[in-house]
Amino acid sequence: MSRHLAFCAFLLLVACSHQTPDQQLLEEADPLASWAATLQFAGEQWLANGVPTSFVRATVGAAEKAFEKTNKAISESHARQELRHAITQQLDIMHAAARDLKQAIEKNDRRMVAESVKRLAAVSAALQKLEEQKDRS
Amino acid sequence: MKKAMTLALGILTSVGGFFDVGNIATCTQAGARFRFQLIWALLLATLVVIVLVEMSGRFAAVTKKALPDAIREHFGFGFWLVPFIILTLIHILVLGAEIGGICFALHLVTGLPLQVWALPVAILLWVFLWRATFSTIENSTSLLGLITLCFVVATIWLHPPTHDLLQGAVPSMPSKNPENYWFIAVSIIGAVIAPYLFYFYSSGAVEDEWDPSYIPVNRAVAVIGMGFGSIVSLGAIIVAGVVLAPRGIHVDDYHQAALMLTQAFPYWGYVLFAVSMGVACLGAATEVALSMSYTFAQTFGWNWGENLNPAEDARFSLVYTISLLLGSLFMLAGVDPLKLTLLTMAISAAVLPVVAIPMLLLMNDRKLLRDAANGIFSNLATAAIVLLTLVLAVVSIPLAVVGGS
Amino acid sequence: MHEEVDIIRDFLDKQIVDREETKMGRADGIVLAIDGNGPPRIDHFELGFAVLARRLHPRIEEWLSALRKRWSPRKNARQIVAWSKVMDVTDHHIQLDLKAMETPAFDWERWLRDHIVTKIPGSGEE
Repeated sequence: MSRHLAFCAFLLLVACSHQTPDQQLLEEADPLASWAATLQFAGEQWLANGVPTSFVRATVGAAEKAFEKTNKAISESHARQELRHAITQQLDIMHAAARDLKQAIEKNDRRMVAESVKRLAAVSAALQKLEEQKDRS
Repeated sequence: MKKAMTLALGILTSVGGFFDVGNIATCTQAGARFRFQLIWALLLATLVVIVLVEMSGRFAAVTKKALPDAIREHFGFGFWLVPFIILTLIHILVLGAEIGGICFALHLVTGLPLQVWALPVAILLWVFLWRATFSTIENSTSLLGLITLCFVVATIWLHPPTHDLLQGAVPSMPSKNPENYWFIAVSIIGAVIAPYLFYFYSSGAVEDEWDPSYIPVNRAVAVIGMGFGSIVSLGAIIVAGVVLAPRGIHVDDYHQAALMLTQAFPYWGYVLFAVSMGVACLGAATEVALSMSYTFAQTFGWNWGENLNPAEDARFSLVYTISLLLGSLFMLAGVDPLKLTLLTMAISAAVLPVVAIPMLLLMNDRKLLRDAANGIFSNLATAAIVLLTLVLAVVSIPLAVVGGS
Repeated sequence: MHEEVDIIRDFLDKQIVDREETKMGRADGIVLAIDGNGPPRIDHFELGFAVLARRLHPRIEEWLSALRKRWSPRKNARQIVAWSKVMDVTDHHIQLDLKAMETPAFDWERWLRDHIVTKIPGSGEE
């Protein structure tokens, strides 16, 4: 019985991992681009008085959970060094921008919020480019 | 005149009960990831649910019995036991997800964390069920449910490209992430064809004392009511497709969905989303808790009815009390509400044949239904539906494993 | 008058109501009596979780009985209703010449009502 289960698990694994380690890592990092865009949008809406401070605070919190998850995936990944480095770089920028965003909204520092939004937009764009790599390879 | 009132109330009920946390989660995900490509899944599911709801209502109108009552009576306890256990499990999961939706809406409005709201929400729901009559519940949740039309207004405001919308109404292969695409398709269908929906509807028809003269009204309510709810859900897909998809925002968390109305309604969008979600989930949670009570009471032959005082149907009241407590446990334990919702939808889709087939069998019983029994057209639809539910049952769990995020 | 009736289809699992049409359970079991050479006749109905449990598996019934001995306000595991108490059998229900509140079928209902429900405001009990 356990042999059958192991075989099924193996089949499933084979079915799922027709991807290269590079593609796998890019898939793990997929939510990052989405969160960068989310925080950017949230910041923009905060500046337009469309969302309250508590919402941006909570959204940054949710994003940070996703960052942790991706960080873990990067450290366990067998992808190319350059790819891992590229993603880690963007993750770090995003992490810093998110932190600054959170601090800025608490202090009602609109200039700082606008600046963080710009940085998040840049991360979003950079991650999108990396994503396109995955689709081409 | 009373029939006209029934039509109006029935439609309002469907609007409030159709669009719930399951629809919000699956439709916003669909729009955010695949733009309008999954519109066909919603349309297909709507057609199926219209057929099922019409049958359920027709059955209750003619036999004056609700589904759990009739199924136990005609197929026996042994046969009914498995669907009954499954239905109970689904009820609790869905209730947990709906309570999660209400908690999230309150979190959006107050800024307080979700978990804080779990018990207060359960208690609020309980008080509502304890004190209210069936028509009060019907009317209030339905009227409040009209707020969800903001999704339709937003759709019109955002001017989505009609050509792309029409293309989405026809099934197509996605350009990437096929497993995720099919997983969301199955989840949408599971969310719309909620098992409790047509079971609850039959009990509601008995509460409202329908008789065979209500058959035409029932048809209208099924089509227009479900159609209406479907249009709101369509609005959710489209708004997500226009606002979230181009920005590359996926809905992996409810916070990401909460932004979607801010583009169409610059100042009020955030609040409208929160209120819509809260109200929709409130109506649905009430229905699911009641449905649980109806199912238990009818299965064991207890006294039942929301129009009775709790002193007159203590066991009936005990069931919804316990289910609300159980439902609140998920949020108390810190379970992610979106993940709970998606899991529940997948399971719902997987068990659909078991809960739908008994009703479909009863619809052909000429001794029970006489000339209101299924004709050829209805039976063809039934055969197609059974086939669809069997396919869903086979693919939904594997898809949840490989295609879910 | 000779009428054929399908016991399983039309009696078993049917809703049972009292004189005032208050629901009091279902015909969870039917017991026939065989007197000497005559044909079997319906002797009585049985109501209760124990009856249902036994339909599934005797083990389940044992387990349920053990629970009942510890927790239940009921005196007996199953309620026996003589066939002679049947007033009417319609498409919808079997009507008994009894008052539900006075029967063991309502033990739990009564217990919950007296000990819990009426202690909570808004339960509708004067």
